[in-house]
Amino acid sequence: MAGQPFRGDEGGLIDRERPIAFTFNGERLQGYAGDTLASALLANGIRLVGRSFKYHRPRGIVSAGAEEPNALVQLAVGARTEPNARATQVELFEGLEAESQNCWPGVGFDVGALNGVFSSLFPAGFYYKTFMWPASLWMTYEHWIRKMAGLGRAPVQPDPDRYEHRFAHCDVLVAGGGPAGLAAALAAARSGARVILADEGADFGGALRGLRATIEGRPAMNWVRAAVAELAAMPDVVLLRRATVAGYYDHNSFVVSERPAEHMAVPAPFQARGRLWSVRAKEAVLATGAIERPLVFGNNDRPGVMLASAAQAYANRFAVRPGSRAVVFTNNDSAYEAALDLARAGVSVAAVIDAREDPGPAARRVREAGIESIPGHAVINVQGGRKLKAAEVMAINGDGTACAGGDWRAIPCDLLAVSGGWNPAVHLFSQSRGKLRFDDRIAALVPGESFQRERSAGAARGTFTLRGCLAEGFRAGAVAARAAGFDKAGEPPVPDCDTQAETPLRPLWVVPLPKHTRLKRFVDLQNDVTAEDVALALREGYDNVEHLKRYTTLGMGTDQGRTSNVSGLGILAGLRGKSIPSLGTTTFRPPYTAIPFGTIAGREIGHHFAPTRRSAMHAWHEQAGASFIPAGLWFRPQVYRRPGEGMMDAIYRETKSVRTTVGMIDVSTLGKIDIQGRDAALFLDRVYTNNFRKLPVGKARYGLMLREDGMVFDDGTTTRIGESRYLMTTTTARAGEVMRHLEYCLQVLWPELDAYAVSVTEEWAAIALAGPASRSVLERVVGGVDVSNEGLPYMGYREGTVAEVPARIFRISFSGELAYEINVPADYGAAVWEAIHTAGRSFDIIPYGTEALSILRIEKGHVVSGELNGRTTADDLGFSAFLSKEKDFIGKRSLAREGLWRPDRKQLVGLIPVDKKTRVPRGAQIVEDPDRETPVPMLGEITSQCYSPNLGHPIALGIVAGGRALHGRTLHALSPVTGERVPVTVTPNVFIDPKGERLRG
Amino acid sequence: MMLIPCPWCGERAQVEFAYGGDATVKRPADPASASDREWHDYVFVRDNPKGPLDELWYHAAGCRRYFRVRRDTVTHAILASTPLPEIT
Amino acid sequence: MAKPAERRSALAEVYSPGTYGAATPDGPGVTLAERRGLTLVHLAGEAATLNEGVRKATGHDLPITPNTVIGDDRGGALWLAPDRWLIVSAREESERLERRLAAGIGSAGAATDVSSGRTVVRIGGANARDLLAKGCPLDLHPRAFAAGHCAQSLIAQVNVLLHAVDESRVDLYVARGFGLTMWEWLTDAAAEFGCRINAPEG
Repeated sequence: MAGQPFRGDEGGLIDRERPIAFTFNGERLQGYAGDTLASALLANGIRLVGRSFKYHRPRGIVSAGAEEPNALVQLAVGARTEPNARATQVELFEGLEAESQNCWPGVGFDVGALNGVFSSLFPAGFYYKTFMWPASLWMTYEHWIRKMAGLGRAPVQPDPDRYEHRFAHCDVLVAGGGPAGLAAALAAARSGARVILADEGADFGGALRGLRATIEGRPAMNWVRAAVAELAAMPDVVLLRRATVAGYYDHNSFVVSERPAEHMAVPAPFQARGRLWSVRAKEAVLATGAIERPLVFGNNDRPGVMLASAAQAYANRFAVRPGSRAVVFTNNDSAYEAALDLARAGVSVAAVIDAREDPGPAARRVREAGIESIPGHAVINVQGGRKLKAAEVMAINGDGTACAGGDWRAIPCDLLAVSGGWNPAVHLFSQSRGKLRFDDRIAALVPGESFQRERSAGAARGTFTLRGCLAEGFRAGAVAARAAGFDKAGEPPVPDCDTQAETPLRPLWVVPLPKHTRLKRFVDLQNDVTAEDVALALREGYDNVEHLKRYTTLGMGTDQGRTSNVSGLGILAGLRGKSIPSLGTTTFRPPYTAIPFGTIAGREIGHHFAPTRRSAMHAWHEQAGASFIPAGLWFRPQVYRRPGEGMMDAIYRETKSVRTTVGMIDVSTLGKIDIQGRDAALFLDRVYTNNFRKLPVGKARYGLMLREDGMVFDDGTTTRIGESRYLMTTTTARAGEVMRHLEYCLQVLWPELDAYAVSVTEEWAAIALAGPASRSVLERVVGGVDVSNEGLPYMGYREGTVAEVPARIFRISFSGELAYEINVPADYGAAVWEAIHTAGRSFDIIPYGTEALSILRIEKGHVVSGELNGRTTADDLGFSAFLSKEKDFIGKRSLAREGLWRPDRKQLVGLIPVDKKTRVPRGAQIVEDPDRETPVPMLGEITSQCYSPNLGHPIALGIVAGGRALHGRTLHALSPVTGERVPVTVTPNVFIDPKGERLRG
Repeated sequence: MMLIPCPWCGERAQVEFAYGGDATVKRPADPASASDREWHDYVFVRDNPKGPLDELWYHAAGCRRYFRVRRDTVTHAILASTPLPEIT
Repeated sequence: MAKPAERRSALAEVYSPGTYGAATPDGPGVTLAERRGLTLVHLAGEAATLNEGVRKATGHDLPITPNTVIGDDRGGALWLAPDRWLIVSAREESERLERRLAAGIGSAGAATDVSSGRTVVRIGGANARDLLAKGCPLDLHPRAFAAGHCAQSLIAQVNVLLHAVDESRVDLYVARGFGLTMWEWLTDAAAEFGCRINAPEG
């Protein structure tokens, strides 16, 4: 294992007592606790970390944070592998394995680099121009583009880790834990407000971690530690480390992506690797800092060209020399501090090149430190490929549009630290729908008018001095707390900080090319978009920023243009001769940085993906070998197969048993609604089409509900169980909708009614006992009720006991057989079910599932969801007798529209295959003459179909135009899906016992 | 996600609510005497205004009350939240 | 004829007391216990006209302040809506309470027995509210959800009623059909805090 030749002997926020072994591209290396992968690589002298997206040019580390465009790596292997990790944010841990992305076969020799040689073939918009023709070859192209573009590899094994979700509420959310954020959190928390402070880093301090700043004459990090300790001791403050405030949504809701175990190879048992916080904050402080802009000049993408603040952070925070001999190139003051810190860290700083004619006191200070200051100049090109060799410097004219020429000079260096100014990180502000404003003072977008309850503080709003950041942080925290109702929140006094006088920056969006040169000047390093691409796109008419973005892909990489967007805007403005504000800007969209899919999914995976609803008899069904089918969220027994029995055999056996002996089925899933009140009957009369006022106590009645547009909504039986008390049942599918509909009617339409609807679906386990022997079975378990045909006639209701449990007994039937429905409190459901099953043994009772139920109801022509499809009227289904003429009801007025009574409306019919053998295809269309020239007029469709084991042939239900007038006619059922065509005879929709003698017996 | 003030339960997450449509639509008092046009407008026709709109919301996962919310459809600002006329 | 059946909880098949999940230095952060055998009656109507009848039947008044509870551990009334309450009793036979309430309120409202229709879990421990916050969008901080308050909301897509019994304990009511799925969610979500499942209460 090599040493760390570029590591300083002292200083930095690293722990030299804790060396950490890791591998990069298979090479075993060492860093220290506190390192990022990027700092550890630089400490080991590794500058080449990847290849660029389009031209596969060698690339190095550019930044020290979330804005990194180049140093994207694939982490780990196997199930935990993760693509597109930013080496600048990956915390080093023992055993970390990382690989360069976007290079094949390896980072040193990359076949794709030939793209650079032929780069004139890859201009702006080249995807659109090149690969769109012929369209049939796109799939082939895409395969190679993906391979060459090397976007990282998604894991192919199931993720072994846990991910969690968490809701949180606070008075003040502070996004960003740098000086401004810490100050805001302190001011807010001291008032008693509930505060959440989230920072993307492993620890708080923000930019202070990479600076040598002082507060009250002591290192600023001492102040940071004291602030964090104070906050941590407060019970109503939540400190989130490794947590990015990624999204800002309506009504001050936020998404925070926390990575609690990202710095470990394997999380502790039950520890989350990722946690998604949904935060609702009364007020927010955005203290998200600022991102330094690179400068755009010839070959500015070479490894060794780095943001000045990043070079400074590597030197200060990690005690790493990011090069041996440095040149600094800037248009503002901040890079001078970087130059001094680099020199202090042992880097030989050759010169500070400044685009400004008069840099002021900053230049004097570097000269005092023995560093050459070269004002009025620019780096126009760099020499070196995989390793930087020299910076070529030339004087530029006053407005930065041309090289003055003449004094060309190459300064040898292996590090070029650049600063083009600073962009406040306005992403969250923009996501909140706040209006951005262009601030000429710093030549950057800053927060303008707020839209939500937030305020920005510190560098996020363009204040770059430490004193200013602290002052704004304290103020923002106090203002936020007061706005959240903590009236006494005050602003702590601002401590003394060292502050230098500043010389304004000079915007320099692109360094001019020397005459007769064609150098690549990269604006977007990740997507390989050059200044020339921007110019070309403009020539081709893409002069709008949104169009420019999509045509050139500027700002569309995983870094979302954090280092490139404003520069691109500046270049476009320059080319168009317009001001930047007049061009507008592209929209900042959430998330700020990518959120892992695991974190988004949380624990909503596997059987936690959706809740499941089970009846009281579920365990019995499982033990009896039932297979289950989802019905909404319920799981219902589909069929109870016996050992060795085929699926269809079991279904037909169950169906036949109900018609010949007796079966029992769990119907607990049907909606049940307790309706009480003086106006209960009146209420039912208004929601049902038929009459309930005259229904006597102890009787059930079929009820039909319409929607207000006249279409059938739902049906069920409603029983009058007391003087002013009814039990309504609904279909399983519409139980929730019906409940909501009733509440709408009672609360919105008719609040004057004295009626109450309460869902009791969950209270009652419901068992249907059906078949010729059902009465005999019931007689063995019932108590206190005469269940003879006289004692409990068809559509009768009695209360008594079943298996000694208080029960509601209904003589109703869905199967068309003699049948009862028994309701008992759900806690007794399993016991009563077992008792009935035991009592029925001598009658060969069987449990049956939804498949048999479905066949039984098709045989009886009953309608369910296929027929109640929202487009059928009561008359379409043959229910016009249920439409009361004596009263108003929901949907009645719509029935006055003549279109709902046209004789050619699709009407419910039965259909039997002419050969009595061929199954009618599911969902088939019904036509008169299948051989007619297309388009063949479609008369209707199959809504339900099955083989009827009781009739011995297939049957179907369908809705057919004017169908009731077509009984006896032959039509054709066509399935465009399977290609089947089956001649069918139109019949009435009831196939078995049309007079209903069995159920009255 | 919006924060909707239920007149009874206070501010709650949008996920607890169901949208109930335009609150200004009135069911004709006597449907039988409503003209076809009036009935058609009641059943099918809704404005889609840009700006403030009186809406019904239903606190489906809470107190199960319908109530009126005045919401700006552009900004999602909630301008008012009131119970429906007293249930008697 | 067999002797009358016992009430059977929706969790009967899976309920297994013991300690699960992460090992934590201060012991399990969450305790769970099903509350069985409760009598629950849903009451609808005008508070002013119902209150006297309710007091006669239960000894308690109806809470008028939204999302509050009147009563104690053994019984009380939880506010559900401006004209809805859940009457809870750890003492009564369900049939008797529904009838007594119905008799007490006369034709002024509606009493509906829902004793079998809910699964009730008592959640305790230092992380009880942290556990709920993993799936519930309510603000569960004691400032917002103090002892004696109740609230209906969602946990993991399922409607729930929560009752802050005191600073450290919350009773969770969920529809019986979702009882098992909620139990599975709770025990999974509690794993990171360490979880002790106590014997059922009641």
